[in-house]
Order: sequence, then C-alpha cells, then structure tokens
Amino acid sequence: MTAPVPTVDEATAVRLDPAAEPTPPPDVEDLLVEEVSIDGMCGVY
Amino acid sequence: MAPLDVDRPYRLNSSVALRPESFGALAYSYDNRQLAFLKTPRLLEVLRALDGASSASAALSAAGVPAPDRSVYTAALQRLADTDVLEAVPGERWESGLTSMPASGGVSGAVARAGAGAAGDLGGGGDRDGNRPGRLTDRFKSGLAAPICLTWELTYACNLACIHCLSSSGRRDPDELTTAEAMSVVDAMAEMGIFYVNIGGGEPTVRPDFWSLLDHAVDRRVGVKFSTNGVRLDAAAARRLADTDYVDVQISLDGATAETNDAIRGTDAYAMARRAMDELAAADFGPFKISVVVTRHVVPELDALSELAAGYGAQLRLTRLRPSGRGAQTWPQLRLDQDQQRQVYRWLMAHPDVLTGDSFFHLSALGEPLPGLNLCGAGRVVCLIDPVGDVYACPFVLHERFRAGSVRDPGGFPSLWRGAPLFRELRAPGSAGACTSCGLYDACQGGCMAAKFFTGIALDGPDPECVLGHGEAALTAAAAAAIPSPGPGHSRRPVPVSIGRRP
Repeated sequence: MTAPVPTVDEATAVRLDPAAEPTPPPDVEDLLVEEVSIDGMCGVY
Repeated sequence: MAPLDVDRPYRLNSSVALRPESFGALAYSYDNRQLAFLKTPRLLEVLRALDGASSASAALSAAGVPAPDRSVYTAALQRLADTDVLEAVPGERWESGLTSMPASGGVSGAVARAGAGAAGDLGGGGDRDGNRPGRLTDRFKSGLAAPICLTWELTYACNLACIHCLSSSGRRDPDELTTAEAMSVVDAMAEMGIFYVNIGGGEPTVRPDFWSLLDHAVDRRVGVKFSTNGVRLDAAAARRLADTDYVDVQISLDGATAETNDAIRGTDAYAMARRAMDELAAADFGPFKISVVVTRHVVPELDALSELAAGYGAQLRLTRLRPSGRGAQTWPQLRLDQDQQRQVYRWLMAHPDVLTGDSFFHLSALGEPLPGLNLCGAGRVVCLIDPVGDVYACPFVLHERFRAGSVRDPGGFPSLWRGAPLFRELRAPGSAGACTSCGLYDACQGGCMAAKFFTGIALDGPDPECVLGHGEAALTAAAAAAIPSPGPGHSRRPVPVSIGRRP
C-alpha cells in the first residue's frame, strides 16, 4: 500500500494540530536542567 | 555565553561524569564542582546520542525528541553548554564560520558512566510522556541511585581531641577496615557512579595507607575531598596534592585566632592548621577550603575568617555545630543563641560565596532560603561509612538507631544504599509532625534530624534551634526523658567539656 502524500510539511502539520501545540516556555519547576553547587556539602568538621 | 548552534556537533566535557537516575540523570563537573540535574530520561538519551551525532539537532532526532518539545530540549542543551557540561566539538569548518558538517561528526571523548541498575525506562520519559520534571527536592526525598554526599571516616585515630568531635575520635579501633577492604569500598563507589567522597576521621592522614587509598580513588575517578587538621600536611604532601587531579583539601579551623581555635581543638592546633595552609599555598595547590564549625565564639570572628580565607585564595566553609559525639556534652555551651542565629543568617546571605554544606537550612525560616537544597539529606542523598565499615544515615548520627548495616555485609555498600530498611524508612513520605501547623515548615523542613535525636526531641518535632523558638520548649520537655547517648566513642581519655580556655 502506498503511503498518502502529505499535503503540508511535518512542521506545519504539528503547528496546525491543537493537541500538539509547542510546549510553552517552562516555568522554574519545569526546566529540564537545574544546577546546584554541592562543593563542600555536609559531612565532616 | 555563546548561543547553541544546533547544526554543530557537541559532546560532553571530558571533566563531566554522568549518572543515570530514575528521573533522568545527574551530571557532575570535576572542574567547577557543579551538579546538574537532567530532569527527564530523554535528556540523558539526547546526551548519549551526541556521541557520534553530526549535530545537536541530529542527536535530538536520534533520541526521539518530539518536534513540539525540541525548543525545550534545545534550551536544556544551551544551559548545559553555558555551564560547561557540554562543549562544542572543535573543527576548522566551524571555526571558519561554515554551517554544514561533514558526514562524520567527529564526536569523541564523551564520558558517561552508568550507575548499575540506576536508570528507569530511558525511552519512556520526557515531558510529553507523563514525567513532569517537578521539584528537585521532591525527587531527592525518595532517594537516588547513589549518594551525592558520601562521607567516609577512615579512622578513629586522631592526634587531637576536639571538644565537639562528632565521632568522639582519638584511639584507632582495632576493627577498622583493612587496606584491602577499603580498596574494595572504593571500587564499589566507582561502580555506583559516586562522583566524590568526603574523607574525614579522626584524622585521616594518620592512617598509613591514606595516600594509597587516595590514589586508588582518583584512579577510579572517584573524586576525593578530605578534611584534615594539618598534622601530616608538610611541603612534600602539599606538592603531591597539588599534582593530583580530583582532590580537594579542607583544613579544619574553629576560630580566627589561636585563642578561640585552641579552646576547641587543643593547644597549638591553630599553628598546625596555619602551617598546613602555608604549605598548600606555597605548593600552589589552588583554592583549598578552610572549614569552620560555627560556635558562639566563632560568630564574632566570621569577617576575620573570611579575610583569612581570602588572603590564601581559599574558600571558607561553615558548618553547623551538632550535639553529636563529644559535641553532645559541649553543645549547650557552644551553640548559638537566637540573636547569633539571625546574625549568621544575615552574614551568609551577604556572603553567598561561602560554602555551608547545606547545614544551616533550618535558618531558611528567617527569610529568603539560603543557597542549597534546604532539606535533610540523611539516607536520601547523604550517608556515612565509619572506620569499621558501619553505614549510618548521616555523619552526625553515629548511633545504632541510624545504623543501616556494614559494608562487610553481603552485597556491601551498594546493597545497603539501595535496600536497607533504615534508608527505605527515611525515604518514605513523612509528616511534619509537631510542625504541621507552622507556616514556615516548607522553609526549614523541620530542621536537622541529628540535632533533634541527640537532644531527645522527637524526629517529627521542631529543631532544637528552631528560629521561632519552638525548640526551647521541646528541649525543656525532652530534658525529663531519656536522651540518647552517643556513647564514649573512641576518646583517648575524658575530654574537658568546659569552654573555658584550655591549657
């Protein structure tokens, strides 16, 4: 079976699909990366 | 900071180690000592895909990042590049400004270590797959694949007899781990992906195999941060340390003057510590640390200690005094009053470059949180191995109640960390207990478990030094009850508990 020929490119299709709206800018709790300085963390006198 | 070019290849910095975790991964930089939390498994997949990918964009595709999420993941890569976790792969084509890549990506040198059994389903995570990144502290409370902060007391032997010693050290214990056993512990740490170990004691450098153990840890790429009073840190030792990667040194000093320090640590301890600092500076070791336990006598000297550290190009590290070990007896005389607690809080807020090891998180109830995780990490991100191989929830609770087992048990340390009933208990969701009605519980998290335990306060009660004063009533109530004893430990002889100036 031949795959249907897309009428729009993938990126356009994504934008047009309300269920696949681009992820909004992340708030602090949703950042994928978070850094902590742990130098000297706890432990010994 | 250079903007990320998604059409260019990137790789992990060679000084960065990765460790898979159930929420994603941890990345630790041995250069800047920063820990980065990669908060989805898919981001770990992206980093792994960078190795061999012709571009960052290709790595995103290879890791299966959905198109709608690419901007979020690209922002994450940008952040990792900004903090030197990632670096652009150098190449003439890129330096000359061309925008296309050769077919072979030229990616090499990426470092990735896997914590055994650590990761979850790496293909199933991601912010569109149901795993919201969420708050770090919530992740931590349920535990990690390996401790972030592992303290290892190598020996109970010590040339000093500090009156606040948290491990009541002095005499070597005849049952201390042998060299072969200690080497095996290092191997277990390496296999678990432990980034570094905090070594203390006792005085660790008096152990004859100290240098062999240090070298073995470094060879296995387990960074070493060790604490010393300086007794063995002569010119040769300082040069050796300066020539060794992945080693940090902190010198214990509990006052800006000999009078203040030696009242705590003993006669001539100040001069000994200063000589060690001089040797490190002369050997061009770099920014070693000066580690200070904050007693009421130290508070007026914080500025002087800061100046002392600056004079050496060193970093100042402050630690909260705990009623542990010999400190159980001296804590009432040495602890801060409420005015001094507020003074220390303000001072720390004004000196964000001063390290605290997260030990003053109970002060965060005074206002803006202090830098750090601001939680009790016992059994969650922190634990202790003592000189005979017993494993405790944290360095300040050397008591049977908080003993998880021994590294000599079948399965050793990795098995204990993953499955000891004590650790499971500490990682389970807890209640705020007596602090439930306090609006500041989220800020202080109920304070320090060890401080409560060794003052007879219930573990879900207030910290004895609660900044709202709730600890005082709890201390009064606890006085009539049995307060757990830290025991005699390994003190060589009865240690004077008076804070009067020692002879």
